[in-house]
Amino acid sequence: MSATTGGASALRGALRGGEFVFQVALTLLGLLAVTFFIGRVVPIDPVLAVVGDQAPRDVYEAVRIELGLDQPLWMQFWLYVQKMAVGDFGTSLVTNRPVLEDIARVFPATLELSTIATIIGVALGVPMGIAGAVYQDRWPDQLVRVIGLVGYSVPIFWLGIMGLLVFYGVLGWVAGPGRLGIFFEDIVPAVTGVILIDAAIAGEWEVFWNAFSHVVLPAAVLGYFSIAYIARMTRSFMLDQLSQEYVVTARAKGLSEARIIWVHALRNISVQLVTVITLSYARLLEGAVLTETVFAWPGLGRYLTTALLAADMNAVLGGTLVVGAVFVGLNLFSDALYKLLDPRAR
Amino acid sequence: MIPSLPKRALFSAGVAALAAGAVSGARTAQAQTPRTALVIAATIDDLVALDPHHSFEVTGSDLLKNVYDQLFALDPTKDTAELQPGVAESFTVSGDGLTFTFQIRQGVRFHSGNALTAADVVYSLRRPLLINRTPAFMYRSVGLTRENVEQTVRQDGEFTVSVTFNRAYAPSLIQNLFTATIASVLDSRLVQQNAGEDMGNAWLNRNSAASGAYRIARYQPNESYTLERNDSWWRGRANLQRVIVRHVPEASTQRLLLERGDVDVARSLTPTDITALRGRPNLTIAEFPRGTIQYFSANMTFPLLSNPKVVEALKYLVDYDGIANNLLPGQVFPHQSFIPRAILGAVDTRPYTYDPNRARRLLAEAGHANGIALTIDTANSFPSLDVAQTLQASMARGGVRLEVLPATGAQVLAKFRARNHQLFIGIWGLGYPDPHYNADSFASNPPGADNPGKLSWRNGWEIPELTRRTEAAMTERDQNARGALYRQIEEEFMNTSPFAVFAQQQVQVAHRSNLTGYMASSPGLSAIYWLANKG
Repeated sequence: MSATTGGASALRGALRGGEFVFQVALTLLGLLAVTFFIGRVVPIDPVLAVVGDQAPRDVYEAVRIELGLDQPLWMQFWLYVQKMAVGDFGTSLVTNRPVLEDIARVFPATLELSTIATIIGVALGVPMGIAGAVYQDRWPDQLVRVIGLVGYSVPIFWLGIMGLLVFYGVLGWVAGPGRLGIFFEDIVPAVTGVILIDAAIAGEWEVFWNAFSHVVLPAAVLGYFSIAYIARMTRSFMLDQLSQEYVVTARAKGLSEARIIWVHALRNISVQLVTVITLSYARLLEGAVLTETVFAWPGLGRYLTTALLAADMNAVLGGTLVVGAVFVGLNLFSDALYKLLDPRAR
Repeated sequence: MIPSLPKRALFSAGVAALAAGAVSGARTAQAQTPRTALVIAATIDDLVALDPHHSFEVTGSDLLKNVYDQLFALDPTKDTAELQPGVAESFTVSGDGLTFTFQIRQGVRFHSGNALTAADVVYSLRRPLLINRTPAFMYRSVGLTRENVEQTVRQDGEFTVSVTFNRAYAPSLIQNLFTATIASVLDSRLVQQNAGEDMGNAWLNRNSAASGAYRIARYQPNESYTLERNDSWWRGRANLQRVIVRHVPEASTQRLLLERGDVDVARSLTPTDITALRGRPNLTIAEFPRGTIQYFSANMTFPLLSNPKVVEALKYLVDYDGIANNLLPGQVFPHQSFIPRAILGAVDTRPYTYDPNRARRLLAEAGHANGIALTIDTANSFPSLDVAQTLQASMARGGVRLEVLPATGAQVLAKFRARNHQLFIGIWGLGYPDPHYNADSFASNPPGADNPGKLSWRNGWEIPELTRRTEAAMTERDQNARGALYRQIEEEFMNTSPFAVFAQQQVQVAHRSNLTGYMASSPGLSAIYWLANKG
C-alpha cells in the first residue's frame, strides 16, 4: 500500500519535473526566437560587419553565402536551433572564436563583479533601509534618502570615472582598470574563470590581492546602485511592518525594540526582500556595459554590446541565452528561499 | 519612545560596515612598467583575425607587421615611404615585364627554428587566394586567382621564386603590394602540421608561424595581447623584450593609466585629453601620419547632385581649416587629394577654401538661387558625426540646408554601397602603400558593370577616360613618370569629382618621456614596436 503511494508520488514528482523542464526549454526557445528575428530585422548588415568598407562585390557575396544569409529566415533559425541543441553555439564574427568559449571567459568576469556588488548592496542597503524606517523623517532617514537619491540620479559612467580619478588616480588606494595587473596574468590556471576563486584555489595570494584591488572599485560603484535600490525598498517594506498591530502588541508586551525590528519585522519582510535582491542581482548579471567600459572590465555586457553593434548574431544569441538561463536559475533559487522563509509557501 | 540602546547598536553596525569597506580598499598596487617592456593602452576590439592572410584592419597590421616578415618593407626611419628589401633580397623582371623573379634571403629562421626557404614563400603567396578571405582581392587585382596560382607562383630554386602577372605592372606597384600584411611569409611546415581543412586559418587566428621581430605570446580578444621578442631576428634584435597592448575602451581611463605610470603609451586619447596632458613633466605628445583620408561625397545618381556646379558649390562650403585646427586638432591635417601624403604621386595642393559667397554664386548659376536642401549619411561615432555637424553649420551659410542622418557604421555603409545616399561622410584607409590602391577606388569605374566596392561607382561618377588612365598608371615602369600620371589624375579628380577630401588622419598619442623610438603609425601603414626603447 505504502509502496504504491510512494510510486505514485514519485511519478507525480517526475511529471512535475518534466513539466518544469519543458517550461524552461519553451521559455528559452521563445527568447531565442524573439532575439533571432529581431536581430535579423535590425538594419545592420552582418556581411558588411565582416568584410568592411572596401570589399568588392565577389567578396561580399562569398561571405553572405558562408554565413548562410542566402537561406530563408525560418530555415536559418531552424539550422541554428538544430546546432544549438547539440551544444554548437557557432563562432563569433567579432572574436573569431566559438561563442561558448567567449562566454566562458566573459561571464565569470561579470559574475565576480556583480556578486561582490550585490554583497555590498545587501550588507549596506538593508541596514540603511531599516535605519531609514526606524528613524523616519529624522536625520538618519534624510541621509539614507539623499544617498539613495544620488544613487538613482547620478550617471554610473560619471561615478565610475570620478571613482577612478579619486581612488586610483589621486589616492592610489586601488588598482586601475582591468581585472588583473598585466604582470599577474596567466599565473593561476583558470578553473572557474572567477579570478578571486581561482587564485585562492591555487594559493596564489599575491594574485588574489591584486585581483581584489582591481574589483573593489567597480564593485563598489555598482554596489552603490544596489544600495540605493535595496535601501529604498527595505525602508518602505519596514515602514509597512512597523505600523502593523503585531508590532504595537509586541511593544506593549515589553519586547525590546531591537528584537521587534531584527527578528519579527525583518522576518516578515524577508520574502519581499529576497525578491528585490534577486532582481537587483539578476540585473547586474546581464552585465553593466557602462561600468565595464570605464573600468576596461571584459564582462558580458561589453561583449554583448560589441556583438550587437557588429550584428554578430551568434554571439548575441549565445549571450542572451545565458542571461535567460540566469533569470530562470535565480527565479528557482528565490522560490526555494521563499519556502524556507515562509511556512505558507511550503 | 524608541529606547536608546538599539539606536546606538544600529548606528555602530553601519559605521563598522563602512569602515570595513574602506580598509579593504586600502590595498594599493602602484606599478611602474618594467624597463624591458612596452605597455600600451589602446582600443583593439576591432581586431578580428590574427591570420595575416585574413586580417584586414589597421589594428591587425599594427600587431602582425611586428610579428611577420613580408617580401618587402618600407623603411620606418624615413617618412618618404622608401622601399627596402624584406624576405625578398632582390628581384628581376622578365623582358615582357610579366614575370618577376625574387631572390629569397638566406639564413632567415622562423620562431620555430625552421629555416625560411622559397617553399615557404610560394606557400605564403598562394595561400591568401586559396583561403579566400577579404584581403585576397588585392592579389586578384593583379591577375592572381585561385585557379591560376599553381601556375603563376612557382619555386625556381631553393631560394628563388617567380610570379607571373597578367599584365606588365610597374615594379613599384608589385613591391608596394608585397609590403602589405597579406604578403607575410608563413612557416609553411609549422602551419601544415597544425592545419585542419582550412589551411590553418583557425589555428593561425590564435598562434603565429612567423619570423619577425616578435612572436605572439598571448592573445585574448577584446582584452589584450602580449608579444615576446625574437632574439634571433635577421634585422637585429628588438630593444624591448615584451610588448603588451591592453584594450582600454574609455579615453579618460587610458589617460589615468598613463598619468599613473601603469602604461607607457595612451594610444586613443581625445583632443581634450591631449590638451590637458600637454606640458606635463614626464609626458610627451607625439603625432604620426597615417594613410587614412576623410572625405564626403555626393551621389550623382541623385538628380539635384548630377549638376557639376552644385557639387562644386558644396566643395566651397567645407570649413577645411576649422575642421583641422578646431574640431580635430592634432588628429588630422588638411589634405585634398586621394593619395595620402608620403605616398608616390601625392600632391599637396589645396584648391578649395571655405567660400560661402562663391558657393552661393555657383548655386545661383545652377538655378538654385534660393538654396537647396540635402541629407548627409554618417556613422554615429567620432569623428564622422562631429564633422557632419560642422558641415551642417558651414553649409547653412552658403544656402545649403543639411539634414544629418546618423546610424551605426555597418548601417550607413549598406546604404552607401546601395547608392541610396545623397551625401555621405567617409573614412578611407590605404590597403597597401601604393597610389593605385586609392586610385582604383576613387578614380576608376569600369563602365557597364556594378562595382559596389569602388567609391566612384557608389557616387555614380561615370569616368571611362579617367578609368583608362588609372589602369595605364599601373603599368608605367618609370617611377617618375608614374608619379606624374597620378598627379594628373588627382588634378582631374579634384576639379570634377563628386568627392571633397578634407583631411588626412594622424595618430596622436601621449607617452612617458623615457620612451623613445615607438611609432604609433609608419609609412608601412602599421605601428612599429621593434625600434622602441626606454631611457
